[in-house]
Amino acid sequence: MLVDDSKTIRRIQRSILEQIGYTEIDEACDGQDALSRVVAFQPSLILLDWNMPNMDGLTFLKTFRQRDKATPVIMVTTEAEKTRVIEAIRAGVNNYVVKPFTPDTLQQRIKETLAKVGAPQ
Amino acid sequence: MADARAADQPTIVIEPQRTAARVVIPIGADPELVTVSMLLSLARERGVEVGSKGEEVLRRLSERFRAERAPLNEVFAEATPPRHGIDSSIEWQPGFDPSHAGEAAGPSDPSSGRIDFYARTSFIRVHREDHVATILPATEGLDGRDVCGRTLAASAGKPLTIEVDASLARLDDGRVIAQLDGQLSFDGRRIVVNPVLDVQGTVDFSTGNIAFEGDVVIRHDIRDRFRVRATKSVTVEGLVDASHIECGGDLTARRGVAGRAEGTIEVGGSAHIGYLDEVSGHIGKDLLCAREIMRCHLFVGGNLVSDLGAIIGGCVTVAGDVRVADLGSGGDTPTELRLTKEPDIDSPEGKAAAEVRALHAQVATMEKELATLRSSATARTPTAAERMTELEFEIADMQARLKALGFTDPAVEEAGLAGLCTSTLTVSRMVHARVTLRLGHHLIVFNDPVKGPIRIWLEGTRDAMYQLGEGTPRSLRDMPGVMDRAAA
Repeated sequence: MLVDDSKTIRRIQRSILEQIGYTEIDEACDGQDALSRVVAFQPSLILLDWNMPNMDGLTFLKTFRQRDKATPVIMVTTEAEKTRVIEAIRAGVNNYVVKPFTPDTLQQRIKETLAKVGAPQ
Repeated sequence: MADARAADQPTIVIEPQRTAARVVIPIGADPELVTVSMLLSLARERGVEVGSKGEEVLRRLSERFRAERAPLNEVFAEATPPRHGIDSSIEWQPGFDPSHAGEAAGPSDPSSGRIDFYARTSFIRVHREDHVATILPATEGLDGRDVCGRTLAASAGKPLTIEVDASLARLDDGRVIAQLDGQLSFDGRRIVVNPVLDVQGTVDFSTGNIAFEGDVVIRHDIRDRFRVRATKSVTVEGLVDASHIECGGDLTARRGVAGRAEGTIEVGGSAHIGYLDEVSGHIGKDLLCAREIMRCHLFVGGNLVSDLGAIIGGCVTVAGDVRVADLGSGGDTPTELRLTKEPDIDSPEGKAAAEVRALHAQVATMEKELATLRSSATARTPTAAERMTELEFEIADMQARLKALGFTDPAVEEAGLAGLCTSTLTVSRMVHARVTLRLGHHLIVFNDPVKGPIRIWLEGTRDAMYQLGEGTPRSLRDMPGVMDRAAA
């Protein structure tokens, strides 16, 4: 599942995911939208932006982790400060990608994350 | 006494040919006796056919005589002349009368009053389906009647023996319709549309510019600054001055073209030319030149053959093979010959080349934008970050496409595409000094003359080779007096 308020970023992420074999991809434009979709879609991976309207990524993550601690989440954000990264990790994020990112970087992070959690790649 | 009485009697006089009948009433006639019935009776005795009109005239005359008692000599009946039939004729539609060809000068500029004498037309051009004329049939005619009621026979109109060539169709209603594009001509008996425009003289102010859908044959010369355009071939039997020729088919000008730096040729097919001097243009297929090609800027899409001639000065680009006696001149005139298979834009190679160039250009633009964003103070804003991510993605995508096409390095790509050259240069006599030869991506400069016969070609995509006579082929780098700068 791709959670980002930017259509452009979602398009790029979708393309990258398709290149590594993902075929079923859902999208949400903010944290609220993502919460409403995540139960029905049951993603095997979430790419999550931080700064979004309605509900930001950190709030979504904290809410999501209350019921699901297993699904891997990668934060994809411009927030690069160390304190922010630590905050995200504490909230339950599995990996972190700072924007702007290259396709190779994102692909690598996804593979690392899936390998760590033991999920099929 | 009897004679005197006869002289006083009204008489009826019939004009020669019975064209009219007169009543003559002398002054001595007895007015009581000059009645309508009497006059009618006289007329009928003479054989005159009197209708109601004639009767009315006689009535008025008799009344006038009785009133005025003056002598009368008046026509009371006239013959009806015959109406002869109209001969068959041709009615030309506006703009198609061959007898008016060449009358008008060219269009005039209303602001200056100048007339463009180059733009006059000396022939009638028709297009398929044009209604050029109507053949009007002969009419029968209507007989007349003389005053005695005899028929005056009318003659029927004469039919016109007009032949309509197979290049036109004559419909039942007389319309003549062109069946093909060409020049309309009529010699008094036959209407023809000729798909070949035959200019009997010189193309000059008497003919104006020529634009024709079909083949054009010019029996003499083409003068300076005149244009000849044909959808098919152009053949010039005289000399071509500094003019402009454009044809979809072949160009034949065996006496040569003296362009004087202004003349141009655009030939869709092949060109067979005596010589070319200071001419620029394009030839789609082969150029066969009997003598020199001097100071020209030409592109030849096929082969260039001038077995007895030379390429001297200028810059000639040839996609095919070149065979000449001399390249350059003894006067060391700088001469450039390019042998390069410039891909046709619509061919698969051309499309690939265009795509590769476009991709490289896009990548370069995006990399420049990315570098600007990275170095900018706003690099960390969400908008900038988003844009940089997008650029990274697009660049990666394009590079993947370039990799798939096999061209990841612009320099290699240019060399690779230029190395599509498969042409061979054969010079039978001499390659002179100051000749520059571009062979694919090789730039070969002849500092010293090289005596022929010599053959030069590209081996694969890399090595420029030469062979002197029947000798061993060698790399051009080994030839003394010749410099080969590859990928220049």
